[in-house]
Amino acid sequence: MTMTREFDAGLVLSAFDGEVSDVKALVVLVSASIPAYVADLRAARTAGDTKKMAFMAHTIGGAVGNVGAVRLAGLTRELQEMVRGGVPVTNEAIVAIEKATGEMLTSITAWADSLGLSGEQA
Amino acid sequence: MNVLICDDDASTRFVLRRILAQNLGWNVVESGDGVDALAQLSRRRFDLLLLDLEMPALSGFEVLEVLRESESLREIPVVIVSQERRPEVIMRLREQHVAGYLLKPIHAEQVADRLANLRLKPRVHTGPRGDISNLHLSRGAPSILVDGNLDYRQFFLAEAERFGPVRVAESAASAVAQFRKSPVDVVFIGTQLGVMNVETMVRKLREAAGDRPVRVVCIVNDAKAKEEAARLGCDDTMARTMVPSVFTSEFRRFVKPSGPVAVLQQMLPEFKNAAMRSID
Repeated sequence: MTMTREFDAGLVLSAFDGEVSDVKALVVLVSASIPAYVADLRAARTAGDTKKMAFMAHTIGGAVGNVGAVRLAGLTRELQEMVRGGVPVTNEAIVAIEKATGEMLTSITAWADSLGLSGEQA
Repeated sequence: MNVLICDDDASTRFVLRRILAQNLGWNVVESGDGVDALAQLSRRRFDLLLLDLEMPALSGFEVLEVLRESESLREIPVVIVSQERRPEVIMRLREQHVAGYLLKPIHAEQVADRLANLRLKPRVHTGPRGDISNLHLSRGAPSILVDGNLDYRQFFLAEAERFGPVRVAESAASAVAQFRKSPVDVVFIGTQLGVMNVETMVRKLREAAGDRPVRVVCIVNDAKAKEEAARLGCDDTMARTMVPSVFTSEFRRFVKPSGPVAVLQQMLPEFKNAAMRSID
């Protein structure tokens, strides 16, 4: 069973009782939504919009929790803490989230491939 | 159980929907933001709201505040679904009397157990609900009158049918059966309803209406009956009279307003020709 800090396959399977079509639908949803959220986070930092940065970090953290992406969720929490504490959000913090997002998606795709889930959708 | 899930993240809504539908057998409707959630809540009857806190446009807190100030929706059970763990936020939610708090990330068994343990019951609506102010009798929207008195039924029919079609029933049971067969927007409830009383009839109408709003108007004799009607679940009242001018003035509140010429026609049929001549 794939369980890394990038992704928890067991959590996904247990949420859906191993129902392949539902797992596949979730993989598609996560793969489509998270990169868009991360792009919004990057745009918010470029615009200097700290409120939006905190909001997007919160949204990403909530969404990736559904696939057990512990590392990425932790990074978004750190970013929210930075905003709440009035600490300027560095480019490195955003890059770390982008990198973790890429790793999570790679991990999910590899797992989906191994189960024959990816097909034309995932 | 009819449940509304309000969360701006599609994958979270998907996971929750799956858990509620598969594990608990509940009917689920999704909403992606607070504005849409409030619109859905005003249109349909829900027994539970699962609400995210951090959302664009209208936050979960703002949705809660609106609900608690709403006469018809303040009692709806709300369960917060959030990753928010700060004590001050939890305290603020307690003040809003939320029914529960589910922490993200979502774990299927935990969520199903927690929600099942809330022992929620489908909400029975005995009072006003939804937006009924725009429900009227009109040419294209018939209403139902139930009254055991033949004279009153005939009088009502003669006066009311100037404004739109009216189906009559001699008893509450017959009216409910008619409503089930073909629902209407407005039901007028008179007296001598037979075995079924007003309270039961209103409840059965609401149950039969399901998500569809229905405006229940009780025809009352005096102020005491007017107060009683509200307790029994009626949305409005109108005075019982067999004086045509008084009836028209009471009844007009439940008639869809139309153009000025049509209003004149409805008010006084004898003005019809004069009105048409003035337009020509």
